[in-house]
Amino acid sequence: MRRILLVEDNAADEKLTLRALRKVNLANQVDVVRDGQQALDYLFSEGEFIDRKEARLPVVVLLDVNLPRVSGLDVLAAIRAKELTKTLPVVMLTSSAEDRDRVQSYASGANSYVQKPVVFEEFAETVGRLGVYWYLTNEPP
Amino acid sequence: MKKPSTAPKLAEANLEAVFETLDEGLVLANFEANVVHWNRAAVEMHGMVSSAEAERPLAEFVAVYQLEELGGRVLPYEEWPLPRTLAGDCVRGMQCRVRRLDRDNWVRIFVYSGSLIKDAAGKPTMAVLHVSDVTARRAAEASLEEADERMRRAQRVSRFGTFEIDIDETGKPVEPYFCSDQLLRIHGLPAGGNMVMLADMRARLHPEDPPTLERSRNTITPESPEYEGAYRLSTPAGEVRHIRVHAQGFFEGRRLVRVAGTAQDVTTEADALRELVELSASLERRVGERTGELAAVNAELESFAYAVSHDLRAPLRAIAGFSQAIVEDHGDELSTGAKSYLDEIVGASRKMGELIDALLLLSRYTRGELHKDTFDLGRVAERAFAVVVRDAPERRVTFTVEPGLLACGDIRLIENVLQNLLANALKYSSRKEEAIIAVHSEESEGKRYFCVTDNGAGFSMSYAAKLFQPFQRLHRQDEFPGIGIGLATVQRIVKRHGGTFMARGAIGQGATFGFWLPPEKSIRGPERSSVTGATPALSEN
Repeated sequence: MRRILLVEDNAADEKLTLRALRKVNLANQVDVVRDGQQALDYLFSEGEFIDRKEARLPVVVLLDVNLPRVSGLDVLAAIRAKELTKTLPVVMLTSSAEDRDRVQSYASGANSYVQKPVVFEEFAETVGRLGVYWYLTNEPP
Repeated sequence: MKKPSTAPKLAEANLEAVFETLDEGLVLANFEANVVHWNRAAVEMHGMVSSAEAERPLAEFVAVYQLEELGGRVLPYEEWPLPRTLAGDCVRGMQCRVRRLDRDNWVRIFVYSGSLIKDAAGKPTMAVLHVSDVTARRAAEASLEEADERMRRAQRVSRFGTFEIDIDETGKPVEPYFCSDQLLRIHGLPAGGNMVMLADMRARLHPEDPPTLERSRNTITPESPEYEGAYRLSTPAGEVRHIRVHAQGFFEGRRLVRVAGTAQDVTTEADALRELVELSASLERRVGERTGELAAVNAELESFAYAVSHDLRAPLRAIAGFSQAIVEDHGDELSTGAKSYLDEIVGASRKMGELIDALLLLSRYTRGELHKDTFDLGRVAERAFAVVVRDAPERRVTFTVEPGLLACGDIRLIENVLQNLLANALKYSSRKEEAIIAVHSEESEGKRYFCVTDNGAGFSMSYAAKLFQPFQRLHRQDEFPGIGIGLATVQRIVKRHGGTFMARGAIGQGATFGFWLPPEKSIRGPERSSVTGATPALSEN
């Protein structure tokens, strides 16, 4: 079973995201890491994820822009720099409505950019739609 | 010629002839003080026509002549040269100004010398007075003195002093040498002693400045004999004077024989120049500092906005999200009252989200570059109206746009201005059965304003200033909902263009909001802009 990787340091956002994905029956497929370094270790089976050798890449990475240690944009750059993950679908999640985050995300090779809405229905709907779209409809290259 | 009885042996014809042909004046007088004889030169000098006119008692001449010292004092008869000589005084080179009282402007300057002629026994028998006319010479001397004085005055006024230093065969300067009064004054030495020593002139020279003579000698040659330099003098009061000097070398063959030149006190100019340089440096420094501060403030604002955008929204999402989760997951366990409270929480969170967005928008419109173009404002207004009317499809609205409105500005920002103004117009005319909204232009104080006019609720001009403050509103939420950021944003955008804003309204009679944008090429900085037009009170913003 292919996984969805959620990179999110905010516990509340994580719970709400998981709840939204549960509503579309995807919660069991989600792995969660809490910062950028963990995300890179997960993807490249290093550090605490050394046992994930041979494991398949996630079907999509939901990547928060603001992360401790290695920022979301740096994670994205590292993903795009490696042959293994060059084409991995990455969706940037952010609270920010700032243009510069959007521009930088697309410039760094994000497949999609989603602003986390404050209002829960919208948030749930957005996250659910993302999960379903990438998980079910998007054929990985 | 009449021979006086007491005459000495002047009878010899030769002597007489000499006496008559002399160009110097001679007058003989006996002890009765009668003038006994004037020679031709003396007669002419005194402006008389013949010896006959002259040969009368001396005292009679008091009615014809006035004798003065050169200083102006009128001499009494006893002090005239002949009476003095007869009285036994030694009269030598006595200078007198002589006036004829019977003629206008007849003035001469004579030099008199007198002596007594004695007989064989040594007894004085008569006086002889020698007269020479020095009027012309004195005039020449006076004009020379005047020229000298004029020169001194000119030096003082121009602050130029002059000097001349001869150089002897061994190459040494000949001392003392000549310095003009003005140069002495510049060097703090008493005027008048024009021959000075180098050591005296250098007493106040600034220790770091080599003397002009040495410096100029090193550079001047017969081919290039000019030297321009400067030196400083320290005054006893501790001031520093700046002197500019121009010197010229004079050569015989290849040997320098003289250095002469001028010097001028340029302290005032040097001080002014230094102040100017310091001022300009400090201005540049201050501009640099301000620019740095501004850049820092801007960067701070940017990171603040960014932080607000991220950090304020995250807890809001949690508040709204979990409230909603309670309703969805545990709705059955809640009373109706509890559910309505949760609805309030969700509603307030949504509202706060909107406020944060609006605040960010406001800050974004005051940052970043302006991209100016000339465009058709009417078309932009139509597009903006289409956006805002989408939220109120049930409304009856008559919307008109004046054709041919050309504007110059950042089209993205101006579109936002029009969206805000049109959304306001639509909102505040919502109580009308039919809203009438017009985009048009009007002239005010020589400026063409683009205006949005509605037939809505209007506002009282006394509260007009509040319109432009963020989060300030003139209507209650239950009248017209809103968060009070639109006009503040609009005004900031217009200010950033260097434009001005106007607002006009009356309660129940609709409102007009207008903005003027400066034409291309004459765009002024935002600090010059102000809000003018129909609402003078707004200029305090």
